[in-house]
Amino acid sequence: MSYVDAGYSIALGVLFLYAVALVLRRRRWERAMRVVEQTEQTEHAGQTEHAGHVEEQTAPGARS
Amino acid sequence: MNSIGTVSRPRGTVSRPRWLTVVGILGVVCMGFTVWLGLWITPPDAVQGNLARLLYIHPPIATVALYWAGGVALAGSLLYLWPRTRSFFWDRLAAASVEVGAVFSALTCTTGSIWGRPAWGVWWAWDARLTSTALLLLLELGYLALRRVPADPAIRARRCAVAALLIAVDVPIVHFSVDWWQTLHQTGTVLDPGFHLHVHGSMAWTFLLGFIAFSLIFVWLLGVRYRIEVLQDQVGDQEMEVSLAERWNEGTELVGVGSSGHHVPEGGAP
Repeated sequence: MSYVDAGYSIALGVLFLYAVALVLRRRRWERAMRVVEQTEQTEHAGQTEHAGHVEEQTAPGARS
Repeated sequence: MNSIGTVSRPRGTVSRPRWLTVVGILGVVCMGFTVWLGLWITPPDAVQGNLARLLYIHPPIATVALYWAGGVALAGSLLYLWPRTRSFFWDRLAAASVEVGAVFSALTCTTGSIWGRPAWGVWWAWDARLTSTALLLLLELGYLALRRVPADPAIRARRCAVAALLIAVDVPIVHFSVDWWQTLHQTGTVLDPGFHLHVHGSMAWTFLLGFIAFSLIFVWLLGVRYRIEVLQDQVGDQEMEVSLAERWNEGTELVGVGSSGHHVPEGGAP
């Protein structure tokens, strides 16, 4: 392999690998973001449901 | 008025802008043409022969590493440090630029070394241009290491902005090193100090295309890396909020138990 071929291969190869690594990192963080958002939504829904249930129990006349 | 501790942090899902995809595609196309022209179409140089083909990629890579990445890092850091324009946008942009710049700096040293071995007879020489470029890479790696040190986001941003200023100090040193000192590295490759063009014809067009291709690739990489930076911060913020909400709920439950002697869930009357 000549110096020219080596130079082009290394430069383009490193840039390609870095680009692929960045895309994979971005996907991983997007997945993490979705998981956190889902967790937040689930917790929020759970709290709302729980609060509604408690309100029913403590509402005037609810126990009579 | 923004202070360092109360910088607003953007919320919401990070979108993937279409223009960035277009830039990436254009960059790949330009790169393909550069390689095709550089390796097969342009004639060998009268002095260097085929070795000159390496110069279609080495100066563009160095330009991106030095001026584009260094410039964005400097601008982002200055705008973050300036109280009127302080925003985490600038901090993230500078951080993304330094990381992409580090890759290009490493490639500058590598491709230059590959060219230097047959041209100068050595892989490396401690001359001013090469040493200052290696220093640039080390400073960029130092910045990235500093960024990984756990700290409050505002403190981390301020530290990194100062570190980026150190990187920026090295940029003119690299640029003028061939004029200030006697170096093995030649002076301006494309333009001399009087702005006279050294290359002509298909070689000049290939050079120009190389500069465009690597610049477009830089913009694309910068955009993707910036989005990762935003996502990292948002995931961190939201995890923190979830943890705080859990703690808050636990605290509320404990207060309920403490005041009434029996468990009263959140929302219930004490």
